[in-house]
Amino acid sequence: MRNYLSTSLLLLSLVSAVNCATLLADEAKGLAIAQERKNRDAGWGDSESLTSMILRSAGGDESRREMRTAALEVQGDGDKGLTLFDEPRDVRGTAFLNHAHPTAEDDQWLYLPALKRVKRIASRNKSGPFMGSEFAYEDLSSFELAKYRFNYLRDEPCGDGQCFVIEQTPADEYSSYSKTVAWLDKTHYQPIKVTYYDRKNSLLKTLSLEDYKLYLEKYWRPHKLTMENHQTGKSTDLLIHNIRFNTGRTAADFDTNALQRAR
Amino acid sequence: MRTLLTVVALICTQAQATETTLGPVQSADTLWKLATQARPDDQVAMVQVIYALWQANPHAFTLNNINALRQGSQLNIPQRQHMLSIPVAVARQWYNNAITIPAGRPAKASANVSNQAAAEAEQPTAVPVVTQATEQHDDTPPQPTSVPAIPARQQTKTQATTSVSGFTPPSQDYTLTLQQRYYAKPGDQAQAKSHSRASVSAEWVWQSNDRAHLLALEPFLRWDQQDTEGNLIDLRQAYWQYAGDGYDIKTGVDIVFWGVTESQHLVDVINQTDLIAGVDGEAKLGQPMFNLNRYGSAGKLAVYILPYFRPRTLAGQDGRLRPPLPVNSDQPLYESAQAERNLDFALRWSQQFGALDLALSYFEGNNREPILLPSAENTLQPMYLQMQQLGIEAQLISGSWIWKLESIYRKTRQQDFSAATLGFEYTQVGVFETDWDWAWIAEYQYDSRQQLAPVPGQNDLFIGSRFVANDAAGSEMLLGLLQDLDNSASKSVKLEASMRLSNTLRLRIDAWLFQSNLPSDTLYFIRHDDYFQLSLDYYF
Repeated sequence: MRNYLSTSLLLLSLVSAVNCATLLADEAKGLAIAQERKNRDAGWGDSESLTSMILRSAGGDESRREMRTAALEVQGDGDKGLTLFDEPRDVRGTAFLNHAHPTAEDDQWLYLPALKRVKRIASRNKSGPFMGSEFAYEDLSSFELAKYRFNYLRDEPCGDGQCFVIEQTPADEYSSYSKTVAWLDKTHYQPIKVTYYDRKNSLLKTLSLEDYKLYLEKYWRPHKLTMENHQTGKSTDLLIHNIRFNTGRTAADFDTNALQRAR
Repeated sequence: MRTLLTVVALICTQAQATETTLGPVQSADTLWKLATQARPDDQVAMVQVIYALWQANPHAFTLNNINALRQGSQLNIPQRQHMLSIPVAVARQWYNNAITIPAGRPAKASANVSNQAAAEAEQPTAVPVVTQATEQHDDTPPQPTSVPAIPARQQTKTQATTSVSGFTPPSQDYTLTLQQRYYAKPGDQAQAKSHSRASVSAEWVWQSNDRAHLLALEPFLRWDQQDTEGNLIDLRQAYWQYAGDGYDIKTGVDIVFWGVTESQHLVDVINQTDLIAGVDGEAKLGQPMFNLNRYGSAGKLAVYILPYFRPRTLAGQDGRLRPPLPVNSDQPLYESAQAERNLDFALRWSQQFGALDLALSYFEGNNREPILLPSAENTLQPMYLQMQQLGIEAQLISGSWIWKLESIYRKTRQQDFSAATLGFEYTQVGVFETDWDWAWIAEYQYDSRQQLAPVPGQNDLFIGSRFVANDAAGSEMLLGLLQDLDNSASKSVKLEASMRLSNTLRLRIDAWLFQSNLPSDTLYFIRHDDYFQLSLDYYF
């Protein structure tokens, strides 16, 4: 009996040791893949793009958003982004400036053209919908390693190729997600699909990223992103029409002085 | 000591020297890729890096063409200062031209003569005479491999979207607003209960391709059914602005906002208030100005010279929300002998210290706020005294809380006083398991003139609540109460709500309630002026 017990204990500890080792290995592999994703996308400098959003209600009613965005890569910190809203017409002239930080809260400002006021806004909670769409602010912020814990799950065929499936657990306690799962294309390490799980761990949204194009021989960018909310039946298409790199923008184009001048 | 310094200097020079070269250039390298390695920090634009690399390494490019980088060559990385010495706009223009020149054709060395360079890019000169291009270096391989700077598809895209200098066609925006206001009671001076109003504004903005020049023009017209004083022709914007490196200048008419608080705007003093437009005083009249902004690591310094004054819009004989005696705004009085041509002056320094924003301001000139003097014809006549004002604004962000302070000290011939607004804004998102944001605003308003203050907020508490639905219609609502702490019967309540009806239509609802039983209270004369207002904004 005693022998049996000790054998079981030994077996049990062996099993858990093996489990542990696999888990650690999977976390290391997950991080390595995420690192490779980040490295491959480093050095793009600055870019500008035209973006449309099509918001679709559960009943199929559509409304449209038009905006222009500019982005600046920042070494050693989160990226800077400037968004100018063109449609709907009542928000035309409104501008949004974001200085992302991997671990600290982002710095955010809004320019309100009716009052000509630059208003700094609290950014702790990034879970709010962006322009009434199915994209939350946190879905649109730059990919930073410090924002998540990574865990490699498996390889899986996806689209025309093969994907790494990585589980990402947000480090920010104010994130609206318990976890996200990303399918990264093995050829370019960019996501093809991301699923989002709410704080109760049920499936909330699925993001599909399509029409990848290569820029500057190195940087892959999707041109159609579809976010589907499984709990409400609503969806949003984000269409990127034109991406330009090397637009000559510097940090001076991403401060509050420039925000006032942004047109 | 001297030896030590020399040694240190030597080591440093050595260390720098090892970091100032790139290469040898591999077949997979692009100029862009190498430039990302050479870029010291994000203050330097990629085009500045590329231009400096190209300038400092004539041996590395066949025929001086950036699309023909020689394989195996070593690139010297110029100093950061050197990179910054060429203006971004010039470097960008040079780059946009340079990348369109096919490998094998010579490039023009001039970066400044943009039009000429563009012309050459389209029609290359028959005889390629480029001084540096033919230089042969022993260390470069005899068969240079051309490496394109960026992929061909990207080249055509850049070429297509960048026109050489000048302005893009102006943006044109027109807004028509129809407003219907219903008062609960007839006016104390028998004014009507129903007031209609219509306004139209146009905005044209021209911006140069390099974003350095901005021209804006925004005329505004308003028609008021009941009160002729409400009719208005205004220029809200009519200016030219130039943005340079670390500064911008503006000449013309514009609206400038100062401040951080929500319930009142004490510090905001550049523009005159269009009081007829709304009780909250947030609508402003265009102000002629010369403005210089200088910014750097020590913060932003703004200087304003204001050569012309605009009197406040005040309700006339048939207007509501006015004192019992009608105001005759036609001939305002001024303390200054120059009257509305008094040269007003303002300064503001602002700086961000992490989560804390701080600003200090000074203003001297015509007081934007009139005093109303009884005249012989049983009317009130506005008088604008000279004033000096010191202001401070502070704002601290802490998680979902924003703490706010505005305070002024104002001195006129008549009196000197101080006033302050202090409070917070707290925002919760996703309340009640919905997408709604729910914000609380609480602000205490103080004025050292106590009961004699010609404003409601002398010892008052403002409590407000804002709902933002985050829906496709962009629905939002603000409900606020301003309670006098000296007199429980003196209070005002406001409601602001709006939603989008279509891409080009927005519906707004505003309502105000006023309550007071003290004749000395500023709210007393408008206590029968509670109203409800519907507005429809049409954008075309």
